[in-house]
Amino acid sequence: MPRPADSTQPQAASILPPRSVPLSTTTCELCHIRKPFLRRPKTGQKICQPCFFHVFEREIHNTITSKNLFYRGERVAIGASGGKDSTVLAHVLKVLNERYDYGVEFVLLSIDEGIRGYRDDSLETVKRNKDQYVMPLEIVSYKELYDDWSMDDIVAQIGNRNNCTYCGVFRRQALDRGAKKLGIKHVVTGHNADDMAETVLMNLLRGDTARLDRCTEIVTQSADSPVKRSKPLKFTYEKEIVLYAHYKKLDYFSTECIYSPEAFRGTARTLIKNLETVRPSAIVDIIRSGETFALERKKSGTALKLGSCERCGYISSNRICKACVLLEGLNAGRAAVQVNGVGYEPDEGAALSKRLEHLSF
Amino acid sequence: MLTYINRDCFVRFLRGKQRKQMADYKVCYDPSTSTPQIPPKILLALSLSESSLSLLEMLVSLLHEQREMHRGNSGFELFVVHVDQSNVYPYPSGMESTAILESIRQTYNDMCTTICTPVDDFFADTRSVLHFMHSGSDIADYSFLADLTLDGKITVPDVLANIRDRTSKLDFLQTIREALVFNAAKELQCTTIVWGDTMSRLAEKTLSLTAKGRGSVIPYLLSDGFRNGIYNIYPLREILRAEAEEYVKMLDISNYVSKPSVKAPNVLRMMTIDDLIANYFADIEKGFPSIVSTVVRTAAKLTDKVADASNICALCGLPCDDKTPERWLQDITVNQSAPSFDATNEQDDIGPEMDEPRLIICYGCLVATNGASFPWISTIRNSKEEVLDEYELH
Repeated sequence: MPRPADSTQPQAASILPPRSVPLSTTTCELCHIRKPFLRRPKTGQKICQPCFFHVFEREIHNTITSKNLFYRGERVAIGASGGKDSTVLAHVLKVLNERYDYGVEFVLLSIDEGIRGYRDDSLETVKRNKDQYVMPLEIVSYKELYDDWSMDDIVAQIGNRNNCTYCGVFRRQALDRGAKKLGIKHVVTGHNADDMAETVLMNLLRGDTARLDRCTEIVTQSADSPVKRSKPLKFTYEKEIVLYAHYKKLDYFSTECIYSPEAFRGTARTLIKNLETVRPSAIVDIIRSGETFALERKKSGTALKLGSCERCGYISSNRICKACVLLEGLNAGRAAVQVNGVGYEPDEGAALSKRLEHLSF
Repeated sequence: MLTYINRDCFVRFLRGKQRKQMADYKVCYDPSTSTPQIPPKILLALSLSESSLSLLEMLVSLLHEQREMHRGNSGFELFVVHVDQSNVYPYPSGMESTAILESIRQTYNDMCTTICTPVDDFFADTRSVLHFMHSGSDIADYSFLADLTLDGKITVPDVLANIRDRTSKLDFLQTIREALVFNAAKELQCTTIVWGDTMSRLAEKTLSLTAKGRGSVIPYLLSDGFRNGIYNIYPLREILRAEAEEYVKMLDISNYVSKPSVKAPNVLRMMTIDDLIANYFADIEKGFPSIVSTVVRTAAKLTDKVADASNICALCGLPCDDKTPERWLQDITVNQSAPSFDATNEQDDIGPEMDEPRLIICYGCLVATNGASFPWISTIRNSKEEVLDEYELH
């Protein structure tokens, strides 16, 4: 004697719509006036374009206000790569800043890793964004920061394995240095909900207990960085970012980094895509799980001693910072290659990968 | 993996791993009288899979050894419970779980007591089920639930038919199975339940609980410890599924293996979250063989934040530290239409005041029940019309 489904819908139904929404819906499920235009990836609701733009922007606004991400008069740098996430972030922040009068001054901050055929093109996009959004732009390059090493040079020397480690360590420091140059203490990045979910799963799969319980924090401020970072798109689905950028006709660069991410991360990404197909809320569900993870931290007798790197002066808990350690290894390798008299083209690795990409049989 | 020299070494190796986890269940003697103490009662949840059958065999071998060495005394008394769900998922042809249980009963006759509980028993005594679900809950207002189900006509297939989502359907079935195992433990006065989950299964459960938004209960569910006043152990936590399968083959007890004939569909959309995770591990283990143990070890390091929580989810019966998970969802999911007026007039929709919920539903169940209906539970609030209709004087 089960009762009919509709009479016993739990409260959840008002938040996430039931999957039994009739297919014959002829009006937008939110405004009930306009014709539905798309199916919302996050909820499955069939909604019109104005309602989509509204919920998309409003959710980011809610995230910003509920977490008090900004304060009036703050200068904030947007980590801009020219890709869809950071372009949408810059666009939405500009819109929200004007609509809700945050009183925040936004600056675009880009890192030039020196990857020919990828970053040089995407930086052109950022330069156009600078004019489109009327925001100042600062570009910091690996070459000028790290002994004339670009990512192409690094890959040419170390090969395709582990190059993301170098890029990650260098970028983190480069963003900090760029922010410092601009006198800014807060950088926002375009990490979206899919990225967050992927990080939670990756940390579980790799057993990275140092990061597992903190990786879902929306604001990260660690002792070894003078700059606070936050992720206003933490709850925004990647698919919705794509739709938003498309329908708003935003100018972005859509090529993936030619030094594609490690295979292991790729498997986690595929798993999340499949989970999302089976249950669209899976992405926020994983973030929710990640937020509840807690680990007992060992209380060390002495507090972490923060000093500055002997070589570059950057904040570091060790005598030499991680970037300088990596640089040391790279420089040692470069010296050996030169002594052996084997010359190399700095852009060889990237250029070759690029050429191979275009080969067809 | 299977590089052991011979069968005996392999069997001994696996038994050693199980015994390490159950080192406390040895024969104890009273220090003053030197007489053996009354052994604790242990309940084994037997699903008739390779893993739980391996565990049964290992426990019986341990009992044998203890009786031999201690003049008939043992470190524990073994009970075995099987939840028969053949009315939901029929067993393969010619394989009646009751018949299999009967032969198990005969084989291990003097070593353990075997019982079989039909899955529909869950609704046989609603009051006890509700009591189980809400034991420890400080909310007393559940009388209306009991009234709804006292006629006892609800069957598990009835309830499952109301759940469209396959993941939620199988999750709910699992909740019922576990509830019945706990009920049996209470009835038999067992102080410990042993579960046959292998390391492979624990890794899958860790990932799938995470994917279902149930990350907060991972340490509570998957670590050895007290749940509902009964101690829970996973003695096979250091044994891989493939090893358990090999063990069953070697000891020639594979004729007892009986898995429900529920096959994962090939269409992605129709798969359950558990199917996806199981496939993921099957694929990734080839390239990264240590991943299963990494996940289990990582999960074991998580701190249990819910064990002392006073709120119990009305659906899964698990403790939850957040009474209003719907608020979290509401904050990140806007359900308003685009304003047709000046944006500055918009109402702030952050954290609207919500009534204390009548029933507490945890986040995992909140998303799982989306689109499902539970015949005996209603969380519908009174609408304005209903209240006016009832209280306004005409």
